[in-house]
Amino acid sequence: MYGKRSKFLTTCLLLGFTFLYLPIILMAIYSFNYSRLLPVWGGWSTRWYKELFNSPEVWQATLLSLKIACLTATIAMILGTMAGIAIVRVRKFRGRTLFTGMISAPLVMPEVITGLSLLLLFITLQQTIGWPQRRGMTTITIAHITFAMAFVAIIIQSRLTSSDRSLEEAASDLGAKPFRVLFDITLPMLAPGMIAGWLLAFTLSLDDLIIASFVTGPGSTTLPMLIYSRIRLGLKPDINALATVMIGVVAIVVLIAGLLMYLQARRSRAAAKAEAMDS
Amino acid sequence: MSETSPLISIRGITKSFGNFIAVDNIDLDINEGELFVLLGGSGCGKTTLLRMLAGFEKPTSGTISIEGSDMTGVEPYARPVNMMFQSYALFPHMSVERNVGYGLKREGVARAERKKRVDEMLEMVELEQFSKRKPHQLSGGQRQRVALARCLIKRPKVLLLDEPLGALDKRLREQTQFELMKLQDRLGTTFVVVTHDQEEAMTLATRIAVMDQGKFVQVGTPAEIYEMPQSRFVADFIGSINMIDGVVKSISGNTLTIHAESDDANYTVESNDQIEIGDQVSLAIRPEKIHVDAYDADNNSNPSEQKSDNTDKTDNRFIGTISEMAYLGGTSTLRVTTRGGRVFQVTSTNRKRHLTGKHDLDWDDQVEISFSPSNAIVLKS
Repeated sequence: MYGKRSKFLTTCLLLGFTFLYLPIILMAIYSFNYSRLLPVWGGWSTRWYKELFNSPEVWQATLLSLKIACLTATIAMILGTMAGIAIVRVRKFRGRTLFTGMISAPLVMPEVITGLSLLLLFITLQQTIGWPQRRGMTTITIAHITFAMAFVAIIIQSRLTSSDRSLEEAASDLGAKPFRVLFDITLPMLAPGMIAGWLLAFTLSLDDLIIASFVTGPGSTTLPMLIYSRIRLGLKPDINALATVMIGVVAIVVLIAGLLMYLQARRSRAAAKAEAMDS
Repeated sequence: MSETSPLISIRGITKSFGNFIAVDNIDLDINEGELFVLLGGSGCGKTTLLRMLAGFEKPTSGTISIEGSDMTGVEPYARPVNMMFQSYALFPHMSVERNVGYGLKREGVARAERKKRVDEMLEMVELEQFSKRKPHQLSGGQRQRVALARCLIKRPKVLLLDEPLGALDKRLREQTQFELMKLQDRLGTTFVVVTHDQEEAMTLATRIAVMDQGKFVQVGTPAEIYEMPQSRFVADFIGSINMIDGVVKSISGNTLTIHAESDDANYTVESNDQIEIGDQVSLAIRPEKIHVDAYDADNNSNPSEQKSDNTDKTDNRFIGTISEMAYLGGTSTLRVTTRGGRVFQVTSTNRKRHLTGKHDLDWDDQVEISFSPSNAIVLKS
């Protein structure tokens, strides 16, 4: 185990990574392809990047998707955290079991059904109370929140169940009223879970094609919807360029987060070492 | 019972979780300035009782009052008690300083005053130079002191401690025990400590309550608990003890003769309890109260027979063989098998220094053991 890594394992590792990343690398390379035809290599060029910057349609879709994703993530994080806390921390209330089951139902519900049912809801609402007047960004956001919230609630629930109850008890013992305990102790304790939930909700929303297609209205085209419709009409390489830009942005964000985490770990290691010197 | 009214008074407190009764109809008074220890094995209800004092569990029935005011329905944050948790429950995202100051902040103490009192407190537990550290950057002993400081800064009437030394290693535990006692003495705060460690209980307590299955088995000073256990459970739970089951054969004054069937021997013991001839009792004798001597068969004319009816000499004397021996440094623990076949555990102090490692007593040596009737305890239950 501690000797040389076996050749077999190394090969497996390489094959695995190739399978995961080769398509992405290929896509990035083809985004610099001059040719209009996707599979034909026509030499290096940044032509599609220029076209991308000049294509309002793509920008609008991207912006809309990002707006919806940000809104969804933020609201789903708040509601999901509240639901998670209610499930784990609030002592028996009527219908708690039902509530717990229903909060996780969207996880297993097929997206077409979620989409269709929400569409029906919005139509009924429009006919009875006149809101929402038009389907579009608002309806997509509401639909996304509905299912992203379930994921956040699950994350928060698991983090709360495994957390030390005595921290909250200690705060209460020291004179903090329940609301103070929530803000001083519970929420800081849940912060990593909330961030993870936010990111998950963000990606879920950014990814979603099916539900958005159901509940959208004229003029509101999200990025996945745009890409999907383009595939049917014949793909233009500017989508490759867009995807490459997005991957680049994500990679940079991940890199920064990793760097920050590494620096923090090094700081606390240094502090621990300093303490060892003290004693 | 003292003339002043007790600080904590518990009346008929019961707590059940479903069908399981964790605390079963307990009455207790704790006076101001006491260091009261709840001692018992796991699941005996000691922690539940402590948590009811803190307000984290609501009693199923019964009342708790502190300083004469009823605590039923009073939330934990409004009680004049503070609790130190077994896990210490230090807030991981706050520095030592903020952890200690948290209680004062919630009380609404102004920043300057708060800083002063936090500094005082940290000085008292000798952690001034660690005030900016986070809990995960401290050692176990330091964390324990932060937790203690955080509770004490609110100057509670009662400090509740749940296994306060449980997470420390043995050396640190002994040292901390004395620090805890010194602190309690200095502040005069009433401490209620929960522990499963009988040695810890003996060292710390002014009074101990031994708990089993949700009930108090015995309440008393450490010496009372150790020297005068009232039941087999207590005798067995605290320290080691030799237990001899037998029937009372004769009574003269307060001296009883007990006949044990298993080794067909008579034992004499003093007791002031109400006991009748023919009662089934247990005789209990602590290992350190048994005297052990090397036995030389040639010099003893009347060695093997026990002087059974000799009530003025009163020594219970038996000849036996050392069947096991454990050298513990200061003392040695011996297991002596008598000719009747009974095994006595005996503690003997190693008064002389044996450079060669060869002791007066060794495995398979013949010895004479004896104990005085006044040192043995008679237990009816």
